[in-house]
Amino acid sequence: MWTYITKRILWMIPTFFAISLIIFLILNLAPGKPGGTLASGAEGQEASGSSRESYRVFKSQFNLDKPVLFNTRYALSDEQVEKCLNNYANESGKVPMKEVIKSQELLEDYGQYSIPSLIRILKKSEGNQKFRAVVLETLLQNAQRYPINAYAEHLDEKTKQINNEIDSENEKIRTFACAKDASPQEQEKAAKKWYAWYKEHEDRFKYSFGQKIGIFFTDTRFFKYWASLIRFDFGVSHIDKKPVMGKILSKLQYSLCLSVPAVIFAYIISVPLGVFSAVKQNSKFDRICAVILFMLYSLPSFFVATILLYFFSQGGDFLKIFPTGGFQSPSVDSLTTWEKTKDIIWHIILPLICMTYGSFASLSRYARTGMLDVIRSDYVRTARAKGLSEFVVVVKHAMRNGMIPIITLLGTLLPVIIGGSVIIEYIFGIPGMGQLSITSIYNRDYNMIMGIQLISAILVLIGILISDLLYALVDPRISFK
Amino acid sequence: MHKENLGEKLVSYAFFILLFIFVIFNIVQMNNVEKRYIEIRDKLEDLEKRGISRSSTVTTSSVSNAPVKQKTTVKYLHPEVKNFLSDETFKIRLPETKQGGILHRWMPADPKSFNTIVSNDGTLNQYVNSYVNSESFATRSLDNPDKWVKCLADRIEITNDYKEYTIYLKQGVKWHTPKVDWKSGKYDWLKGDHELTAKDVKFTVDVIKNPQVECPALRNYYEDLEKVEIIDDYTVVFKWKKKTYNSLSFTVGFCPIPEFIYAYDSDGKPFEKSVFGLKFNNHWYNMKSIGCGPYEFVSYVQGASLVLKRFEDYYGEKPAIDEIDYQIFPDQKQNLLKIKSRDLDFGVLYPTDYREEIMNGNPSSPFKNGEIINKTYDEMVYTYFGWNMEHKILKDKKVRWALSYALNLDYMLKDIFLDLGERTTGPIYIKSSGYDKSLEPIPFDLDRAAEMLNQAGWVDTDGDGTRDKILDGKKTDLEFTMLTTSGSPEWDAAQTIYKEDLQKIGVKMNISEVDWAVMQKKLEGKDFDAMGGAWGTAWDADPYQIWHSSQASIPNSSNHISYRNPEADKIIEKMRNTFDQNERNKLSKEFHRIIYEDQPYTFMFARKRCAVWWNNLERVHFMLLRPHDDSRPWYFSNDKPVKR
Repeated sequence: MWTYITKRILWMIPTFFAISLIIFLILNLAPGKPGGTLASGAEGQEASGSSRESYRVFKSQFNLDKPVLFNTRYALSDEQVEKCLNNYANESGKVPMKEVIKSQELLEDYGQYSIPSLIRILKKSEGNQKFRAVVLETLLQNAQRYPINAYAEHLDEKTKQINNEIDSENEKIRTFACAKDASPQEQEKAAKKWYAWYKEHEDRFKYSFGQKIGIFFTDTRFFKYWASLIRFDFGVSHIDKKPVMGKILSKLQYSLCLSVPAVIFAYIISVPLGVFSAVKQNSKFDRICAVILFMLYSLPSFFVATILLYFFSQGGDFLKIFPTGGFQSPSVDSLTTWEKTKDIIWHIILPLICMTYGSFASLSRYARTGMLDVIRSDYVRTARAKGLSEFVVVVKHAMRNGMIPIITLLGTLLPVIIGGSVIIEYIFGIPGMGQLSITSIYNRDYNMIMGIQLISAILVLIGILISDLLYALVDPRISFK
Repeated sequence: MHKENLGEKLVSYAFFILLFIFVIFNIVQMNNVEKRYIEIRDKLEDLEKRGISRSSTVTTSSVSNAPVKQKTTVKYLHPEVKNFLSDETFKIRLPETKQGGILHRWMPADPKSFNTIVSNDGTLNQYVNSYVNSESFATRSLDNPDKWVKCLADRIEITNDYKEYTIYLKQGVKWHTPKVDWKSGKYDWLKGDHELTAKDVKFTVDVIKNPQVECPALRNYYEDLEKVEIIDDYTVVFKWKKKTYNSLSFTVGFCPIPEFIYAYDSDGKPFEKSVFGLKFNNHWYNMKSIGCGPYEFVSYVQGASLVLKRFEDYYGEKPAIDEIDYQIFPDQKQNLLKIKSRDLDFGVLYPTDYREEIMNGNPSSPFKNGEIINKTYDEMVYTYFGWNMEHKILKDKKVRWALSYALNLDYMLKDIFLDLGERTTGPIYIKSSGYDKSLEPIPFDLDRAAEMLNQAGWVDTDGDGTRDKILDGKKTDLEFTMLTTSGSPEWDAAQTIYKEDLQKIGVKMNISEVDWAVMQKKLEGKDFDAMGGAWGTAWDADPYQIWHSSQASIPNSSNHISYRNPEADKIIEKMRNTFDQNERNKLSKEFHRIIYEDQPYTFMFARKRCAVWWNNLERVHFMLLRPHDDSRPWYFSNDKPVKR
């Protein structure tokens, strides 16, 4: 048994890695981009270098400037850079805007890797004033480095010193700036400064074989994400820069308050229904029960939720019993714990109804079939023959074996419990996991989406393991040896 | 044997019953204790509050008699120059208004960050910033938006041909008290009163100019700002490189942020210079709000509530309502239910709800029996269909005019948008003085549209129901795709009607609905034929951003449709250097006529909204400028709404 569990847990690691890789790829290939309005700098004036800078800061904070899986930028060719520069400069005016923006982003993302090529192109491009202006602009933007470890709470003295050096070098670089419409002479003057600077720092851009291997695997989005994931750090949200894990935990309380009782009620109601229908198979009760349950099953929950709100909420037109939505009353501070509990229960009754009725049909069918399998078996007949009452026969003898499939279902419910219900939470205004995932998808909040997806992936893996173990536990015939 | 067993059983039963009773007793006791505790806590808080408010009234009265802190006498640098600012004529607080009450309102989405520099969030601006931290040197008058009135500054002198602005700040303007955990002692460095001084102004400019700070749009506006000089604590000089009209509005409407909190980390240490921008983007106070406005931030629970309280030390006219409580939830149906259940005092209805409750409501509902009052007001937003001017078909002006004639706007306005709008003919705010009222809205006329298409050479030669024409040697169908973001049912209906009308005259329009992130990317890449959308204008908006030809060829600009017209360019450039309001209005009207003539957009409506409120809320007044539903002049007459 223990070897089996250990084996399964060890298998989870590569499985999890593969899942995270797939989610990561899908996310990064999806249309739309994070950052939203940050990228569109121009409002009223031309998008100048300094207004792009903050978008680049954003990209670098979330590693969006790095390639997704593998980084070959240490071997950037002059042609690649030049093509981007040409597209971005768009001297002919014929390049489609889509390409221009793509080249602009690429040039920004190449960052430090593009410096040697840029210097060579700068040397080559003498005489072409407009193109040279673009080269100088790109160089100015890419040569500046970001401070290291800038988002850490506290920095040690050594990092501070390095950052100060970077800062003063950036300041020096900024003095190389020259206006967009500068004359060729001015441009040449600026270019001379660049050559001198490059000579001084040339070593920085020469990579040894080991460094190249390192860059190839480690200077990528996926690696950086995993590097922090190993430390159980899911990063911060793109939107409000708060830690992803903290946000998920704070939302989890709302979703758990809804889903745990929902699962419990669903079982409490549907298992007896199923057992009873099995015992009285093909009776009137069995048939009516099936019809009603399947009718309920086919009602969409958003429809029922709206109907319930219209008929039973205080803003509705009929029975004004329940609140119109939300998880708690606004005046929650002046309530005692007991009153708070009552308040929450009062608020979640309607959403609970919406979340439970749909699962009655399937669960009671499972229970019914499970019971039917065992109710005619020999040992049940023996029990009856012993003279035991029907109740004891059903509950004590038949149910133990009949409920095996339904117990194992519990394991697979784990991710559902955590995931929350998008529609119900939206309609009732409950700020749970469902709402969190939908808003983070709309905002292209990659870290948040990754966090939520990975946590539910882990839960699915654990859920499957648990249901396998439960099989062995309730049915001694199954063993994992 | 049997008896013993029974006795054992009895004992255990008794034990469980006792335990149960104890648990119940315990819960009741705990509940009572907690109730007492909360009562005492509330009383204490109340006492504290009353103590504070009493002391504050004492200080304010003493300020008016004999100032506690000696005000420095202001020496004007340019006494000969006339003060640019005038006094506000609109009264926020009428003498008869009753003070008090909590205003419950709806907020549809969570704010992304409360930091006004980093976040440019519509929700936040409308609901929080306008009360908490958008106090600027001067604002446009609520009565006549063409005039600037005193706010944080008492006097502004404009010298050196609109390149130098000397600003004299009001003295004694206090920042709100930060909402931190005072008891922990960690924030002792924040204690005491903090006054708005020239230092804050300089700090704010430095923040905006820092390339690492995430405020690209804002930084662009201040690109030409050469420097800011501090003369003394209350006098600053803004020096600009160029004379532009924008620099006037961005100097006079400048909104400072408090240096005493944003320059420091949570331990009170100033940020390292090398990482300041990055730290500022992720500042520890970003999820709380601070400013010097009429209301101060109290608390925020994500996805649940946001509370603002009147700031008793506010320097200007204090509003009557004590507290504004926002409930945060996304669903509009819930909004309606909460208005009806009086969880909300004030709300804005969506068109579907407007139709159900106000146009066809049942006579006993509160909307109909006078308990809830409704009124429509103008919003500074226009809706439009935009035509990509580089598209091979749509670049023809005749085609665009034909498409405008084929849009049945009067019908849509009446039957779909329920008169929640007004026909508009150009990109200028319909209520502003620069809007040319002589331009007629384009009528719905399919015959005329068909004729114009004929003239442009579009005829159905192959009889497939769609017009065609030889373009660049290739037979092309008159077909294009309308790109919109998944919007309201009204918008969908309008598009479908348009599509059907176009089909009648042999034009094929496909509709492509995408979500906003995708649409934005397509617009920026100019990867679309036509687009539908809404745009929020301003009172005296600079058309440069959307309409200047230079904006058509640079990446990520707002001139998505690549509009280029040298004549329009000239006017736009001239407007940027014209300061006389009459002259500006004339130019603006001229610009309006050019846009109308070119039809790069087919303009639809200037949007209206329907606001509803319970009738104990009085003097609900809608502003000409954003936010239109500014609650400062409102007050509660009674605790309960009266049946009329």
